[in-house]
Amino acid sequence: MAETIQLAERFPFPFGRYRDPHGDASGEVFREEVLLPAFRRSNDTVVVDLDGARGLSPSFLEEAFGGLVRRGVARAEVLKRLKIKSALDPSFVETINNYVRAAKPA
Amino acid sequence: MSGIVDTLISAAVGFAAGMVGSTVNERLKSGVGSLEAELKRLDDLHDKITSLLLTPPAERISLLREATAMRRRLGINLRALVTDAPAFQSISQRLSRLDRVIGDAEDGAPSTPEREQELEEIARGVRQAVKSRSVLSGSWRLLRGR
Repeated sequence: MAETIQLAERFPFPFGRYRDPHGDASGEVFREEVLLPAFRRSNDTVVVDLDGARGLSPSFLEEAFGGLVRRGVARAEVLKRLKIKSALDPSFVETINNYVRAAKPA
Repeated sequence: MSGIVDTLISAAVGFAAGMVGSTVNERLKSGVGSLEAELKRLDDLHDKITSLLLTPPAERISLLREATAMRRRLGINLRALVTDAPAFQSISQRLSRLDRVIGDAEDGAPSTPEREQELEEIARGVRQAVKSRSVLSGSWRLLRGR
């Protein structure tokens, strides 16, 4: 069964790449504390709903989603299991998929 | 008697058609006006990103927050206004390229002629896509002549 993550619930204004210096709303924090655990809990689809977030900083998105590949999740698995929901502005689906495709394993 | 009725019916139909035409015209004007407002937002965002790239990386935080909020608002509003899928897809690809430039700025990239040129090209592409590929493009030409 798919797990759905509402980004804006915990990250109303997601911003910045790393915890240091950008703090608890950074892509690194979202990946490590929310996204990666969801990927590891099961083999099901992980849906991330972006609607409701007030800003979506590109470095946040790259670090969160491209960072999955650098943290050892196979790119093909990310592309298969990750579903981005962004009804208000679907252009971010393309942005995120591009980040995942371009990310290289560490 | 029949002639009077015919005249009255014709007048009523003409009046109704005029009302409908006027409403449609107002809606088209409003739609084009909203798209123009978003293109103004695009210009402002372009300027913001240009300033951002010229600002030392350590001093970029507030400009970055403003730029990402503007980008978010631009995408949401264009999605609401450009309802035909192929037109929005064309805009979407360009917004995705814009995200890459903002991401570079977040990572401390400096202003270079190549980056400036790319930014200019993206903004021009979005503008063009909005004007020529949206369902309002015909109205745009009629109302604005460009």
